Amino acid sequence: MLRLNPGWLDYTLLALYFVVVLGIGVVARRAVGTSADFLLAGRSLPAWVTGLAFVAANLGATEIIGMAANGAEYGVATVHYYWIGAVPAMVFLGIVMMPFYYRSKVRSVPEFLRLRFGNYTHVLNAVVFAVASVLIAGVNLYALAIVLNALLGLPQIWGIVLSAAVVLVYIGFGGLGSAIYGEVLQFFVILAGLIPLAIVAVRHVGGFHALADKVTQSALGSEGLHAWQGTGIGSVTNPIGANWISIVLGLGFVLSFGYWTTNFAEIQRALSAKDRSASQRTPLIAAFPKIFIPALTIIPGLVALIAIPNFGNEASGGLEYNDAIPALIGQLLPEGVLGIALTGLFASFMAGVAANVSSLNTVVTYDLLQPYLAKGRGDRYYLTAGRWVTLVGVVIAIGTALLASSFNNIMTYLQSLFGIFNAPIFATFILGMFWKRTTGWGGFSGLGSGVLAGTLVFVLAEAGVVDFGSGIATSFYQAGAAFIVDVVVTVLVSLATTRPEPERLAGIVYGVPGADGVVPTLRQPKERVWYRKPILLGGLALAITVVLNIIFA
Amino acid sequence: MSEPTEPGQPQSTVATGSRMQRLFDLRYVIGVLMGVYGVILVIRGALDGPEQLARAAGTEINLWTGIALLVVAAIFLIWARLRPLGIDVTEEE
Repeated sequence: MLRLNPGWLDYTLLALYFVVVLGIGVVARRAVGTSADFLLAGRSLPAWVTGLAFVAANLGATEIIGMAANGAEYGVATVHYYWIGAVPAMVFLGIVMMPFYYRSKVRSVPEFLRLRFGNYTHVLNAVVFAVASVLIAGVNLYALAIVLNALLGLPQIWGIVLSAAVVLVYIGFGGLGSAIYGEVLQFFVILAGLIPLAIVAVRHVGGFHALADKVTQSALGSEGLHAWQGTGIGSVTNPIGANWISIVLGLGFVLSFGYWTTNFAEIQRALSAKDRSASQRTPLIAAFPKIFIPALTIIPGLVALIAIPNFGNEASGGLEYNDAIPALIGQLLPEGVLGIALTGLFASFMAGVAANVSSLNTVVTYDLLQPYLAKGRGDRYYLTAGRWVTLVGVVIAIGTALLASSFNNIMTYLQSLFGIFNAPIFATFILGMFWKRTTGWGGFSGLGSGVLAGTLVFVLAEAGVVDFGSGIATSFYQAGAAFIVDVVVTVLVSLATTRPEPERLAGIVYGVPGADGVVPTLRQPKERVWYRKPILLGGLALAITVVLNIIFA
Repeated sequence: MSEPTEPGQPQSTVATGSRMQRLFDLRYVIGVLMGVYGVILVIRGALDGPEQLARAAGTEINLWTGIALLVVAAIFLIWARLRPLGIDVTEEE
């Protein structure tokens, strides 16, 4: 029923994209001479490239398809995942945290923990990240295979192996540089597919007014058109099913800050920027597309809900929410644009896998091999190691994808579990960056107990011992518990252990001068042109978000 | 940059200056791919008949998307042409 019927032209457009991406990989191979070229893209990319890669690394197809599904299920309130759940954290990263990351010259997020808290925290974080990356890459591969199977009839195993091979070729040759170039290309292709889809979708239902009328009459009701109406405490009637405190604190603070400010797959893009100012601008530039992307996911979701009969009623044989975008592509787009949209979906799936693999090889090489497992080798060794890790990572990801195809539920649980690791780590970073007194043991025990607390809430909720009402509310309490326990334990243990030696803090903690005499502060880089000023860019992004929230309240 | 980034701590220094950048300019890649897609869609759009139009709610979607892609391609190619790599010195103060 969902099967698309692409013509030869659509396949040509898809093939062209593959040729270009593989071409980038092969040419980029010549650009890779050192492990830093391979794993860090040589730290020389301009801010617009890293910024678009930053947003694209998160704009995987699972995200696009999932957000359209949320659009059909929750309506306009889905904007919270973007406006509250991403933009403020991205601005905070750009203005407050990026200066610390960049000036510490770390090559990965775990490495910052090593400098600040020592080896235990470092290993804990690096291992968890590496395992999570491989598994998530596998989940992405599996998701891609399902879509390939549904849309084109390609057997799942072929979909998995084929897309893994493409990713392996371009990352294995060119490393992070070609991953980032691929992400930027993907960004343009997916927009070239989604924008026409949204326009045609709105015209299909007779324009915005007709769309609004029909949503009001649908299962969503009039609150399906509002982000904040019906989110009062104790009287939640908005389809999103969470009150405003859960939304602001849970989605907006604990979950999103944890993800955006410490997820290495994201931060890596900013670290590869050419200077501190460009690294700060990376998430800020990314915030602007992020503000407007919901229009391209929520509109198709709403149109699918009202234009496709029985949509979302799987029980009675209707399509499921996740089918919103694929179904509309098949129904509305003619040969030509259809090929572009299809290419965009493929591209964003592969970019998702590529982002996971390219951050995985950096962490394994620089955080596990170099400091512990294979110390003091020449750069050549680490470059080769990086390539091997890429290969092994892709192979394990294929294995994970095959596993996921037989044990779908296990993967869902694993992903939620890894989500638990994000919330406490933000607390550990903030305390580490801004409170001199935080000790190595404080950081380690805080992080560990935060993770345990989050896991405990998750397990209790899964076992039905406690009930928070909705999935969003559960993840809020889970992340909140992890965050608070982390802060409390870190502070108490730090105060009970001996003050960290000043050398350990030099140059990476607020107000402690480095070996070069420069004191890390929040003073922003001086830029002559307005569009390069971090504060101005960040302020603008927040201002647009506030205005949009008022309009769509 | 207003602040030099030399804390002098981590184990090894990071080599700067990517050969990737010097090897090829991403703006040309974007410009050419979008341009080729644009040309293909405009031609396809010119050939679209009532069947394609009906499918896309009466919109000449291939034609318009093609034109938009050509505009994006032109912007990137002109930008890359006017500001080639290597003379972008505006980051320095």
